[in-house]
Amino acid sequence: MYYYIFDIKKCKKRSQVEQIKDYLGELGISGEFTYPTSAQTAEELAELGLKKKYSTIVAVGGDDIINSVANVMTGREEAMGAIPLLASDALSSMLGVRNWREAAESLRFRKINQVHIGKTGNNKHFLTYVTLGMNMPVEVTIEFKDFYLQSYVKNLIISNHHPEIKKLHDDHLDVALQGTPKLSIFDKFKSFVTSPSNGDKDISLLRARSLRVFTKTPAPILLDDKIVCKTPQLLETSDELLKIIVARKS
Amino acid sequence: METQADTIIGTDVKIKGNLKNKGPILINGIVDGEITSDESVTIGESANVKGPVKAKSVLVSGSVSGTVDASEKLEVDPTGQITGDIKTKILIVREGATFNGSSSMGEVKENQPKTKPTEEEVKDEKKEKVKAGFWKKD
Repeated sequence: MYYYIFDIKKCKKRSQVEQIKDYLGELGISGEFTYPTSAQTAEELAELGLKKKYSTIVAVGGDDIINSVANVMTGREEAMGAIPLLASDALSSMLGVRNWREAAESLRFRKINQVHIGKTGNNKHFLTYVTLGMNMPVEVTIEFKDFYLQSYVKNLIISNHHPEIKKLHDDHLDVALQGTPKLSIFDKFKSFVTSPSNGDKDISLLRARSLRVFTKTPAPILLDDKIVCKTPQLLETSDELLKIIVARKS
Repeated sequence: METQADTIIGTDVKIKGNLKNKGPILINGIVDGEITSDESVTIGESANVKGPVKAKSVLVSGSVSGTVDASEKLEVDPTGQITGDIKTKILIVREGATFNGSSSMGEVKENQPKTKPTEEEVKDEKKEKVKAGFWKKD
């Protein structure tokens, strides 16, 4: 019933792999264990698990493997589970678990949430959020359905789930950005001397089902610090739902 | 007024187009277009809006060039500037605020007669009441 795709690189020690397997056995939810390699990716393994008629495909590892499996599982009847290992806080908070043991217990209770997840124009899905990779503020234009926004931004987060952003609509992405004025050399010197504080008035927060991000030169869009695509890029929520197992209390 | 907006436009952000939201909107940046909310719109001190604003309640602390239609309440702070017509039920303009335009408040009550009834209309009404037995015949 359970098909595990295990990223052993995320285990602190080799013994942790056996420890997790043993615990899953104790919970009565053991199954087939597979390991992605350069020859067979996590996505290919998930496809294989579905072909073998497993009803639950579980990704064990960090954000990258969990998002890769979600790529395949979105829109499917079968459920997806996740056991985070060295994963982001955002991912753990989305699953409602604090560690791998709690995640394993959640698998046994099988509370399934049906959720929309984020998707990039090149068809990469994300459960949590993506950021715009930049070393310094860049001029960004974001096109929404009825308007467009322009700003120099220090930070840009496009989120399906972020622990610090209250999600209002399940089928919308939250867009949070921190703007900054375009400064001349003189202004930069003045701001350095006077250190103006703008409180949090430079924060913008918007919600949309889809948006396009443009920058003057292509800028990387990062998922868990890894480049998933570059601007200009379409970001949207998936039309199809992902059935994901979460903690009972979630 | 509700300050926990679910759409926030920060300073150093320019928006062009129509911004619509069911929940509260807070503007601290520049908007060139229409702003519509089913709840409240707050135009912060640093905000500059060119276009109509429509919501249940509107608080203006920045600058608005356009009509403001607040179905319940419109407040203009001392730093607020409105150039355009306003329509609301409750209007609060604080000392120092600037307003250039015309204002309309409230609605004409439906039962209130629009013009004085003519002598003939009064006679007809009296006849009707006599018929109905309200009054005795003179």
